[in-house]
Parts: sequence; structure tokens; C-alpha cells
Amino acid sequence: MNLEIASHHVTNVEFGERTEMRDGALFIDRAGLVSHLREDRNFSDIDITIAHPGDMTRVINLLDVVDIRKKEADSGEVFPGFIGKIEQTGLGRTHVAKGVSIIETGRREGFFGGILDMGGEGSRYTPYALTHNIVLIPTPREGILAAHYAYSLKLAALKTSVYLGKALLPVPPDEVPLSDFEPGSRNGTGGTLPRIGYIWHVLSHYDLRSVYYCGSRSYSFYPFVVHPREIVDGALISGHYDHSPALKNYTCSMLNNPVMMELVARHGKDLDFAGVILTNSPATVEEKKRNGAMSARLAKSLLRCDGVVITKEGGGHTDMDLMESCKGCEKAGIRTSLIDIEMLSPAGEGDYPLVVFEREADAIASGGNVEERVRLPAMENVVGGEGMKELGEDAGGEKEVPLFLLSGAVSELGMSRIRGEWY
Amino acid sequence: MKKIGEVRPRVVHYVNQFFGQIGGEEKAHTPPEARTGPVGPGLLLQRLLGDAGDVVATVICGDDYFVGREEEVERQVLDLIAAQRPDLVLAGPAFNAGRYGIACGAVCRDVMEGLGIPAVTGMFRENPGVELYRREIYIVEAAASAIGMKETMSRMAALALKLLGEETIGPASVEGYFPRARRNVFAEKDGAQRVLDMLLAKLSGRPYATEVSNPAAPDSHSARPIADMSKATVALVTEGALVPRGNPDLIEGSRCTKFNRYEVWSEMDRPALSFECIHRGFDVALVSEDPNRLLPIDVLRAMETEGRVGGLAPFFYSTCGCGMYISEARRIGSEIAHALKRDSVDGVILSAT
Repeated sequence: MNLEIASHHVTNVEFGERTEMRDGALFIDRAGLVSHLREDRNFSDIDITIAHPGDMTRVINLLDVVDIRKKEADSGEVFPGFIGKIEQTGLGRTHVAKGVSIIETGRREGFFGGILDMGGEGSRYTPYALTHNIVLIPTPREGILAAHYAYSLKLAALKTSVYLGKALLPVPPDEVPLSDFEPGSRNGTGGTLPRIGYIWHVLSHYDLRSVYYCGSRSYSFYPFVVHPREIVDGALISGHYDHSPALKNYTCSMLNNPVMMELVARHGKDLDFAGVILTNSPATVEEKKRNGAMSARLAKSLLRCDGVVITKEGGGHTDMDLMESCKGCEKAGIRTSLIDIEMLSPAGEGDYPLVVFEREADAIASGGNVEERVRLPAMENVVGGEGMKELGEDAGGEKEVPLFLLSGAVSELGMSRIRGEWY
Repeated sequence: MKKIGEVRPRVVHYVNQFFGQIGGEEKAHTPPEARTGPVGPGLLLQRLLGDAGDVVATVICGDDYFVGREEEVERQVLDLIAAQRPDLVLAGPAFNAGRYGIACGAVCRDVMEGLGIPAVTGMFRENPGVELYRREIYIVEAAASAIGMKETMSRMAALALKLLGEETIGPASVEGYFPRARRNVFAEKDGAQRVLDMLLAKLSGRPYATEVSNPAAPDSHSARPIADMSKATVALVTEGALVPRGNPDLIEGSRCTKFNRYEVWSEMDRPALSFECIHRGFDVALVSEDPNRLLPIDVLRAMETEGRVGGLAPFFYSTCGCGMYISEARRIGSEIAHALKRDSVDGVILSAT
């Protein structure tokens, strides 16, 4: 069983006569893409624009970020349950474009969008300011429910990903990593390196605050073992439309989960990657305790881990999911380290950065205080709608905003370098 | 701000009666006075400052004299310090002396607020002055006793000169002062690399430092149980953000800064018609459908009828706990508690989401 990620480093994105890769640049047939997306009658219109790194452009009402992916013929298709069939994923060769992102935008009651400045101070905080961004700006059909519209937006971004991904297929990739990886197999490790697993909590509240695994909502599952190849093929998709940008992960950061990728990269070097346990954040204390115990048992008995990294997704109550998994593992003799974000006042006051904390959690990497303020300079362009509630009048003006509004600045998956420190 | 090198900055040192060489406990009632030049540990301070500052005066006050009538004495001490036209003030170090620590903390805060100049003190971690003042001033961590004088004073002097020169102050752990507040910084590596490095260090027994934790919760004690519930009046308080429809008081659905008191609904009412839930932290559909599920007024009324509860207070207090800053939570909690005292209720049911 092999999965090859064929990476293409895209140096520029422009609109062109047809969709193709030429000398490292991606050209997009805009009309063709628009008519492909307009097949969904939940949109009354779709505008598409491109924002480049360094542009003094502010993308507002940002809902999700996806990258460009496409599988070779006979390998199945990416995004099972949305684009690809629901079948075993992670086989064959998947082409991925680096340096380019697709951005969903939308404003309506029940949605909570983010901000992305492509230049100036705000761009220092987020990896999404470093990619050429294809921004989808659709207009919903009147009278459509928020949850239905969210699904259409999701489908539009994923369709764009695969549509543009076709252009990658004829081009030789720049690199093909992750080809012979099988977690738990002790590939070349000789059994001497520490076995490290990963317990990944995803948020699972309600339709506008949940993720999809092969098209199914995250609130309906128990802890289970997933293969990194499934993640690479888009088995896990963000469905968060009503959550603070800092308290959710975008699809792009899930597909490229930095913890998982770091484990893959270091497999056989200073650790033996044992595998990924995917779990959620249920609403009740009993369910949280049950999932913590189940995750710990999978890590111990099935993956035989010496240590696990645990991450969570969400705000206050999801600290408890993180802590329950941590306690369960430590009790089973598995050492743990965690990533958590801090929720204090804008000035960093309050003394208790975490909502739930247990003494077993003695190795936590901080994702920063999400309430700290950042001063953004005025931008020349604003894309992503007519305005944004959180920005008030003149959405493109000089603003002081909480860090949590900056898409990609805070990462509960460890994608960002921001951390809290005592001063 | 005077430039270092032009005219030497004027430094005032605050000490208690013991370090001011007036006497021990028997002299703890000594009122504040100023003496010219350094006294006691001030001589060490002057040596450490070298050409960077002159200890022009020492203000001395007895520990007992200070603690107990702070407001009046703080004014006197601040006047004595201000009269010296200082650029910088150092207090202590107080080590583990509680009253001395409280005085040093108050003096530094008053100097920073009242005179707008930097002030630094030093204390042992268990000195009560640390918890009282660490957020407002710079308190260098000191040993428990005066054996650590030299090391503490040199760290105090170094930090004070940095503040005076308006240099960037490093993190608490680097500079050696007690944490004041959290601030975001850019780490060299991303979170994924850091969390994995930490785990491998932990597994192999190599040193590592966690980046975030909560302090132990402060001690709190429960009120005595109600002896006879059949005679008790019970009120309801919630952080569940139940508000009259339309939210007329503009209670915020997250990062809330308000609370309000609303009349409870009667048995005949359908509260869903007059109330709604505006909480941003959970799916509010079930509460908005039937507010009794957040505030069990229907159940309490039945218990009242059965005589199992003396009475239900005719009002409830509502705020929104979603992402509320702890400072706000402390204030709102205290204000609601005081209001309940005035309301003369015997017990409270707190419902959270």
C-alpha cells in the first residue's frame, strides 16, 4: 500500500485563457471555473479574485482555506464523501499544489469569519499570507438556510481544488515524499526509538461547528485509528462556519496537519511514528471521560505507544477533552505533550490561561493568548464582501483587532510560531 | 527622562526600621523619615549602581507603623520620596518578611502611579506582598532570608537600570521577576516541532519547560448547608445568557461585561415567547425552545407547591460566561453575591452551560 504526494511548487497564479500550469505558474480559466461552480443553484452569483503575498489586500469574512489536490486516474479521488466516492482512500499518487490556497468567503447570520491581510503587520502572523490565494466570493440564493449554504460553500471550495488540480497532472512534480510510510511498522527503526502516537481531537458541536470524516459529521463518532494517507487524501474536512478563527482549524491545516507531518518526517530518525487516533469533543462530561479513556486504551493496547502528542480544537470546554486524554494516557504509562491556546484578557491578565488544567499536563506548547490585540495598517483593497461586523465601518482601514480574528495566526495544530510568555 | 551620563540619576531607597538600622521589632512603630544618602543595604545598592545612579536618600518606616494605616502612611512616604526629586526608586528587598513586603509593594506602586518613574523591589515567593502587587510592579524573586541580599540587590539594580533606560524588558523567567501578565511572542520553531521536542525530552529524561499551565486555584469554602429547605427561599443565577427576547440590555453573547436581574416566569407563561438564549458557546436551540431547561423554574415551582422548598425568589440573575475575562467574572460574581445578600435569599442554584 503506497501513497505518493506529488508536490508542485506554484510560483504565481493568474487568470488565463485556459486552466494550466506553465513554467511553475498556474493559469485559471475564470469563466470555466465560475460556470462549473454555478451548477450549484444555491449560488446566485460567484466572483473569484486572486490575492498575492505582499499585496495590500484584506480578505474579510474568511470561512475556510483549502489547497489544490487531485489524484491520478485509477487512484480514486480526493475528498471522499464530497468529491471522491466513499471507499478506502490513501492509495496511489495524490498531486498537491504548494504556495497556493483556495479561500471561501461569505457573510450571513450564523457565520463567523476571519481576516487575512496579505501585506503589512497582519501578514507576519499567518502562513496564509505567504500563498497566492484564489478567493471565492459567492452570493447565496435568497432564503437559503445557513447550514445548507455552508455545505454549498464547502463543496464549491473542494470542487475548485480538484478542478484546478487537473492542471497539475501533466506536470512532473517537484518532490514526492511520504512514499513508503506505514505507521506502526517500525520501518527501519529496529525497535530502539520511542514509539510516538498522536491523539487528535476535532470539534463536534452542531452543524456549523463540526468537521467531516468521509462526509460524516464529527459528532457521530468515537475515537478510532486513521491512517495519515486518509488525511492527505482529504478524508477530514472542516465544516466550521460559526466559530472564532483561532478556535478552529481550516481544512488546509488539517490536510497538512503539522503535528502529523512532523511525526512522518521524523519517523525512523528520532522516533517511531505509531499512528493517529482521531477523536472528537462531545458535549457532556460523561462522553468526554469515555472518549479520554478510549483514546488512551487505543494508544496503549493497539498502537503500543511510549508517548503521544495530543491536540484539541475549540475553546474552553475542549480543554477538558485534552486533559481527559492526557490523564488517561499518563495513567496508562504513556507520556504526553499537548498543544493548547490561552484565553486571557487582551492585556494578558487573568492568571488562568487554560479553562481546564490537570497536574498530569506538564508539557504543553502554547498557541498564544487569543485575545491579545494586533494593530493592522490600512489596506488598499478589501475582498470578501461588503463589510464585516467585527471591523465596523471602513473594513479596509487601520484597525486594532484581537489575534483570534486573524485567520491562521493561532493554530491549535501547531502551525504557527505564536506562543504565550510571562512578562 | 534624564540621559544616563549627563547628570547621574537620583535614586531613593525604601527600607524598614530593621534594615534602616533603627532597631528590631521593638522599633516597628517608627514613623517614616528620610535620611540623606544610602543606609544599610543601600551601601550595597550604591556599589552595584556605580556611576549609573546616586542613592541620594533612604526613606525608612517601621513595619507596624506602615501596615494597618496604609492610606495615610503611603501618602507620607510618597511625599518624603517625592521631595528628593528621584528618577528611580528601589524598595527592600523584603525577603520573607510579610509586613515589609506589603509596604515595599505599596511604595513601588505609589511611586509608579504617583510619580510616573520606575520602581523595583524584591521578595521571597511566599511573601504575601508578591500576590498583592506582582501584577502592577516589578518584584524580583529573592531568597527567604537576607543571606541572598547581594544576589537579589544586583538583580534589582540591573532591572531598575533597564527600566530607567527604557530598554526592552525580557520575560519574567529571564529577568528574574515575578510574572505580571502573559504576552505573545514568536517562537523560533512552530508549535508542532516544539510539542514533539518536549515529548521526546520528557521520555528521555532530558530537561524541558512547559510553556503554559494554570496556577493552583485559590482556596474557597462552601457556605453551610441549608438546614431546612422547606423554609428556604431559593434564587436562580445562570451564566447561560437567558435574556428577554430582543436582548434589551445588550448582554454580550461572548466576552460579556454585564449581568442583569429579570423576573421569573409564572406557571402559566410560555417562557419561550418572552425569553431567548444568546450564549455563543453552545447550541442554544434547546434552551430557547424551553428556558426551563436552563433555569428549572417549573421544577422549583412544583417543589414549592409540595412544600419541599420554602419559596422561589421572584427574579433570576443572568450573565454570559462564554469567553468571559476572569477579572470580569470576579467583579460580576461579587456584585451578584452582594445583590443576593440584599435580596435576603437563603440559597442559590447556579446553572452553567
